[in-house]
Amino acid sequence: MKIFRRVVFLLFSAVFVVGTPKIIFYVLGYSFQPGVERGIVQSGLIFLSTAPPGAEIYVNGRRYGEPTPAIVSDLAPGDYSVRLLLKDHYPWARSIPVHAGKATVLGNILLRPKKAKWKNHIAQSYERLIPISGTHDLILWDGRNKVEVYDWALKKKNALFQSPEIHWRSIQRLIVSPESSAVIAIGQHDEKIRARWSKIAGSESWIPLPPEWRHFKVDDVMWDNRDERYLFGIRDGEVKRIDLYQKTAQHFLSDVRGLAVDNRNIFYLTGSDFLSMDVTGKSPRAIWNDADNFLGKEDNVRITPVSPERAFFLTPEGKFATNDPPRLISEKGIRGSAYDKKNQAVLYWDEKSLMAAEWVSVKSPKGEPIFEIKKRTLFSGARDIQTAFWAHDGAYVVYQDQNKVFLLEPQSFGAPFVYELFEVRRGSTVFFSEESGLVFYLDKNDGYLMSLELIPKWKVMEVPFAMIHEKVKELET
Amino acid sequence: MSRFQFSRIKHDCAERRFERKLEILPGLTSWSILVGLIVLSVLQPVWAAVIIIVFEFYWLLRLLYLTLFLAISYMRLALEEKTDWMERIKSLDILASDEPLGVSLERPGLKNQISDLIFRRELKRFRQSAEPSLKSSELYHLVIVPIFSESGEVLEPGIKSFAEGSFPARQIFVVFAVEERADPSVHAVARALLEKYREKFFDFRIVKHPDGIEGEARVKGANASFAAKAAREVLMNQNIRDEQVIVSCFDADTVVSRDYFACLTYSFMISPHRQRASFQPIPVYHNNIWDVPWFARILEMGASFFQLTEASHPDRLVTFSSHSMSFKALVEIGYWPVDMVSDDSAIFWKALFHYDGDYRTVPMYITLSMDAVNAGGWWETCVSVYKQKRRWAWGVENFPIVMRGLLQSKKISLFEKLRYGGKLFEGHIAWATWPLILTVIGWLPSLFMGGEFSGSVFYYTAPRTSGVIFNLAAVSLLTTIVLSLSLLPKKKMKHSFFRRAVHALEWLTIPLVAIFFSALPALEAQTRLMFAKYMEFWVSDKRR
Repeated sequence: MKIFRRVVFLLFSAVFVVGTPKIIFYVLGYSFQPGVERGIVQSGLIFLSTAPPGAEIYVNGRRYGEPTPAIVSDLAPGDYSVRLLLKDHYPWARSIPVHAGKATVLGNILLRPKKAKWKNHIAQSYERLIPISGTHDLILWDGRNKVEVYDWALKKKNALFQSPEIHWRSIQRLIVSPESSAVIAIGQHDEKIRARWSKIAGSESWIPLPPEWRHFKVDDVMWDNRDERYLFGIRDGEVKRIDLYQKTAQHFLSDVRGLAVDNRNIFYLTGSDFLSMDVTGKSPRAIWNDADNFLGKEDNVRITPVSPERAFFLTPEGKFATNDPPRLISEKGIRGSAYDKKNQAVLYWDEKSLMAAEWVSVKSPKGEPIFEIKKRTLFSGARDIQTAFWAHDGAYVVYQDQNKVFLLEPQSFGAPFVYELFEVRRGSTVFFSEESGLVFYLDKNDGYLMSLELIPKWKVMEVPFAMIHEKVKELET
Repeated sequence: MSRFQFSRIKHDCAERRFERKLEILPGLTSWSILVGLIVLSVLQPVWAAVIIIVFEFYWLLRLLYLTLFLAISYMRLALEEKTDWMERIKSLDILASDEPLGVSLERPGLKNQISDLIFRRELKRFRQSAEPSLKSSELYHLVIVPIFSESGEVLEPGIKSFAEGSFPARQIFVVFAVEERADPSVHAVARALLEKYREKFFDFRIVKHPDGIEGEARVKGANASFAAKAAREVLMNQNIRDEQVIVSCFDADTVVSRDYFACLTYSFMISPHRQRASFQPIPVYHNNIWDVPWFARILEMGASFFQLTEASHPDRLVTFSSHSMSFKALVEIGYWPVDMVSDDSAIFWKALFHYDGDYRTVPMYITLSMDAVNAGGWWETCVSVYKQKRRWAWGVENFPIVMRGLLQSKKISLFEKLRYGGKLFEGHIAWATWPLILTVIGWLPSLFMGGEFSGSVFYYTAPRTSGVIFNLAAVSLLTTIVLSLSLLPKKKMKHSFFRRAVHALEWLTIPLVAIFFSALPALEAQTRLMFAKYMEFWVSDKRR
């Protein structure tokens, strides 16, 4: 027994002595590469995660034992041809660079199915599709007097503005607000321009318009979903607050160049200052004092608050900025933007290009952590970008160019990949829901509400706990 | 023989100052490791993570090593379950009479055959030694049971087990060592039990330990030593020599298995150096194991497993809790320390130094059962368990004295000094730090790693490596669960299968239990020693 104990002890000691440096090497990314001058090199790895998971991995023609999600480690620096194969899906192949000590993360690869999943939600013809962001509601409008709302989660449809007392001659405009279950219709009613407020599956009422708004030539109307008592209309720099309970309209602000309502606060641009106050007009607060240095003197600046301290600004000329340094994101031509709160990245586009800006934490010369905006062009070469959305956790972009919809796979190490998906009804826009992975649109021929599944319902978890797989065997691809 | 005084130096001198430094060392080391890793995690998270991963690898190997020997010891315990120790004693008696052994030493069945093989090897080793043979009829057991506040409900099962074992009770001398300051009801209980069981034993006495004897602290060792001296007088009056006596110092709640004294007698008889040996059984806490909260159950099972593992390394086994030893050795070394809480381990060290390293602990593969801590309510039991584990961890008080002894000893080899000292030191440091490193501190580097690491190889390989290590450690956990289910008493109870299944799941709480009832009490004990806040004995709550 004594000898046995000694042998076991020595064995375990040997395992520890031999194993410890190997573990340290492995953890820090060093490995022994035969054939290389120095022998021990700092390797890199590729992390691959796909939706759906389970794709076979081939690196430089060799198959790796386990499917995605997987970490392919012990790779000498260089470029690797990576190919992913999943049954009933198109192959995915790229040349991936690997750098010493670095992980090349491809954590959100979307494998496109050979048989796309289309669905016809409503077999009725519409001309316009207006999504209400932050909700499951899509406003469907035939361009005349028929307005309906479709809840894509519950798959229920309701009509709006159909009370017997309503005799629209024509609805001219529909206004929605993020996360709100209310819609405003502006149109000609009984020879007058009137505005009507409707809660989805709720009550409706006429909106009392100020006399000077008889023709309702208002630049914009907005409200906060948390306090739907007040509406704010802006016209020629003047903001009026409409009280839907008391049915009154009163002057609220002057010399306003841009206005937004969010989270029970009013955000507005006046003169050179960007300020906020609550919806009752109390607690004014300055957020940005020299905004005109970046935004110029234009009016009708579109403001999109994304947090109590951060907003985006888009001028009619297309100047795009934020109140965070370095503030100016693009000088001109920008048509729209979409913000990804989780990844702190904003997608913005002009007529022909899609671009992204991210806030990254870096160390200042003094060593303090600061945020910097990093900009990049995702794609150039479109014709007339109408709208765009981040998709699949910011790894992809769905965009509409004229009346065609595309899926863009940006690459940080190569040319982007663009896939054409479908055509839509002329004049209509699409809506992509990250929550459901569906793109909603109006069919180009009959205007039916359709959807295409882009991202499978069950997503892979993109955490670095995937199996690590060494080379198992060579297989023919 | 050495004249080393195994006791804390009381007066100020150079040696006391040196001892003071040694008292500070364990606590300082534990705190340095914990605080150092935390600071490193903040300042250099990558290096902290690498160190922690290396530590986890080391821990895994230690765990697998210990689990292997735990399994081996458990198998040995299972092997000896059916051994007829009295039969073995008879065989030794025959050999002692120089008569030929007329009976076969082989029994049918694989387990019996292995057990018999071990017996034959022990016999061979004994014959090769110069130790004279003894007859069992010449041996006596002196059983000292220190009492302070225990009830009859706790005491009687133990006395009954002494009386009803396979070894003749007429060769057992029981002494209740009662503290004079104990409540009168305790004295009354002791007298009642004496009256009830006196006739069964060779002798049964109550020895009252006076309070306030100079030089003594309020510790169990002082009480036991006083009783041992009184018992020696009785034995001498009966012309029974010290070398004929095996002394056992049992906790008041100890219930021995039926063959305990037979196994002890056999171990004593066959040990080549019986007068320089202690005899350590496997302590289990089965008296009330199903009546205590789950964390107490897990902890006591863990303590039993620890002793099982230690039993497979007799060359470094130190006595713990209820155990036995040569009475001659006890007398020669001056009885138990009268000023130390951890008398159970201190007695071994005292003997080791007295005999210049020529002292050992012989493992016995037989159990004796004690009570798990039970203070009635859940929270009260939490507090009691914590205090008990703190008292066990107070065994760190031995460290400075042992180190002094090792450094002073000229007879103990350097290898032995390093082995004893290193094991003692490492054991206490591990006790106080490992659960905290594995469960809490190990995750700190990932919290402090900035975003710049998210694109590094390290960000992916480090958690993966830790994950593999912990998954492999599950092998050990599974083994522990299986063994604990086998070791637990097969008591008839309601929903037996369900309770066992739940017990298996209780082991999953070991990370939390290890922090609150193992690491933290150990850290507190070491910190107290660091600041010279010496502990007194505290009697655990035990109730049936």
